[in-house]
Amino acid sequence: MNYWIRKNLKHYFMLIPFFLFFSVFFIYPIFRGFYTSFFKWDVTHMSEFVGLGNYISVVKSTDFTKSFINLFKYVGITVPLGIVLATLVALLIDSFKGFFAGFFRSAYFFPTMIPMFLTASIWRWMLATEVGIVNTGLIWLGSTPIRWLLDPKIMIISLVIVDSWHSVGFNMVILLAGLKNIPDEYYDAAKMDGANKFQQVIYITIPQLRPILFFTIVYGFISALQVFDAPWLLSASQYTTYGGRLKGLLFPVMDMMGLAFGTLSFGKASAYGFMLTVIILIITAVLFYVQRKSEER
Amino acid sequence: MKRTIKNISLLLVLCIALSACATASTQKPTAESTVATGGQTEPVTIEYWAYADYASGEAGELQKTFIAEFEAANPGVKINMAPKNDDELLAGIAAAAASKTLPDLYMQSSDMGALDIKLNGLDDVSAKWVAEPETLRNQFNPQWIDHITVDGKMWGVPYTGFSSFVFRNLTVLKAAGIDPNEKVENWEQWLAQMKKIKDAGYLALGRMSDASQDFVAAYSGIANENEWGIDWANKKTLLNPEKYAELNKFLLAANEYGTENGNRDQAAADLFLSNKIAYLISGPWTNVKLADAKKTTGLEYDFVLIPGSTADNFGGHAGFEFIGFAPNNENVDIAWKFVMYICDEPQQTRWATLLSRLVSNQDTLLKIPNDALLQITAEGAKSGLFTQPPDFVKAYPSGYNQAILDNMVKIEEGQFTPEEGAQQLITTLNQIIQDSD
Repeated sequence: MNYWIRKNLKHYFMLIPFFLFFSVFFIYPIFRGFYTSFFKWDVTHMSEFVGLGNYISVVKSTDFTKSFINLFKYVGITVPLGIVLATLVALLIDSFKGFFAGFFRSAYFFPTMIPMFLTASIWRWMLATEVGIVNTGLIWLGSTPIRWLLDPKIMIISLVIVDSWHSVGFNMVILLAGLKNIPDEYYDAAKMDGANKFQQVIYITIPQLRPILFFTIVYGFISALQVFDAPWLLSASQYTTYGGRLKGLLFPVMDMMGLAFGTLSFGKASAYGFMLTVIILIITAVLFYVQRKSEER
Repeated sequence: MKRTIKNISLLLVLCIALSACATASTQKPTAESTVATGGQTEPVTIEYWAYADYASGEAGELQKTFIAEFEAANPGVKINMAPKNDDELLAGIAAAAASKTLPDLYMQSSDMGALDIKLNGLDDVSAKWVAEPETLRNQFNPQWIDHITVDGKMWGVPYTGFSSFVFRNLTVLKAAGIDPNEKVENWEQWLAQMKKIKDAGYLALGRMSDASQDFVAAYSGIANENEWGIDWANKKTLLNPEKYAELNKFLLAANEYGTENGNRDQAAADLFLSNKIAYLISGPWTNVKLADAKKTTGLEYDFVLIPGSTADNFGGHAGFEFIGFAPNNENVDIAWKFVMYICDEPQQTRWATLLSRLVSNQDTLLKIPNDALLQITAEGAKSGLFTQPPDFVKAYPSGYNQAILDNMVKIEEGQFTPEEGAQQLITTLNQIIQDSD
């Protein structure tokens, strides 16, 4: 024991600043939020214990159902699309050499550096029905303008476009790093065996990228499940009216913000947040389980 | 493996122990927030949260001038003005109320009054108000004073006001063969003008179903103040279904001649600036942008009251910004003195002259009769409806305003007739009110 303390204590002390920060700003709010979710609380008055009342009230609301339907549609499209696009872009850039490799890597990464509020504001302008550049281009090509942010069925597609544009660069950079680590000998051996480019990608690149792909998929899911800023801005939401026309862009985090700051129902907002946390944990656990099972095979 | 588990367990225990050490925040008086009396010798700092557009540019410079003048007349007093936008004020006041670190003074819109009262973020200043000379009190807009006073409690001091009206693009009107001097006295006449505009290849108006303020601005053209808001005593909406249906019939017809972009959308403003749309319904804050465009691109525009369903009923939403006081505040006396200073007629006249913004001091209006923007804002405030009445009683329940907008969209999309939509909306709104806390 003394030996263990002598050997390890100093390392734990060095970790204290991080854990202090982590505990105060991450662990404590989670436990506190969970505790608050069982109370009716408006921030300034004494809280009133309501048991599962907040959870029942939130689940019974039509906004809850609508927000999760929107969320699963959005996650179901944006995560696979984002991964596929990022992989294709990474493969493309990996095939470039010299100046063009650096140029296109920077060009695709550039949108990631733009704050989302700016991205969403500009895209809202671009997708405007009569004056937006996207519809102006469609009209010029002989097509009919699309109600990008007015038709509830299309609003999610608009959000996916904005999100993909913004985030593909981030995933691309991670996948590119993974591609650089694949030994060339594998490709040389494959070429000698007569594999074409497509077969090389399928049988060498993708399997070798599996750990990194897994990371980007998990990260993509966690980010997508917490989507807030882009739909909030695209639908010009306020705390009292949010989600856009017929709540086409209503999502759980947005609804949580509305409950918290629009009506000061912090207990319900905490219940909402905790349910979303559980869903994220379940999805993440499933992904890890699937990954582990496929590795065992 | 066992060692790894032991180490991870130790780390987890450390985390939980550290998180359990987090204590609730306690009130931290500022170092300089000492009790101020009439002849105070101790320094006093007043924290003052102002709207971002009031704390920047010309308005900000004038506020700083007022502050400097007050500080010069009250040695030892320092006023820290911090700019905040709408969302920052809402979330910031909530956070500050929870942590008992409210600023001494803050600006807020009248439609947020009930929420701030719920947060225990506003002090009742009725005693201070009645102690003021009657000559001063009589200067203030009586409607606003009545609005901010509920059951004898006064929740702040009205400072500035707003209303909405129609900005008209004169280039578009003339191109459509419409004489701008031609009066529009009802919705039928307005639709006739809109048709001419559309036939000439232009657009008339943006959608009024995207924002609750636009809905109120349109609804005000047919309804009166007794037909809007919430009757909390009987837990029901005051929305008149027949008038709501008539409004939607008018808007359905107007939509044929307009843009699908929302009236408050940047796209609608861009269409106006590029001489493609005839009408933009907004308030005096939009005039800054349009006046700039007039200088740079020659934009020709004017503004009139929003035509209503009849000649004697104009549209428009209205409200006011007030200055609220933090409750249980040691600095309330000096804070009150500062507010009375900036609300006094000379300061309000300087403010209104510079910015053409409506103020709570009615004597000011008499001194600036030739400011067209100011006068129309005042006219619009008389005829417009408050956005969320009764503002200082109870906060609107979650989903109330959104239910109205969703219903309007469903009528636009053909899912309901206006009459069906009206009945469905009344049922929905009453249910929302009854389910609210």
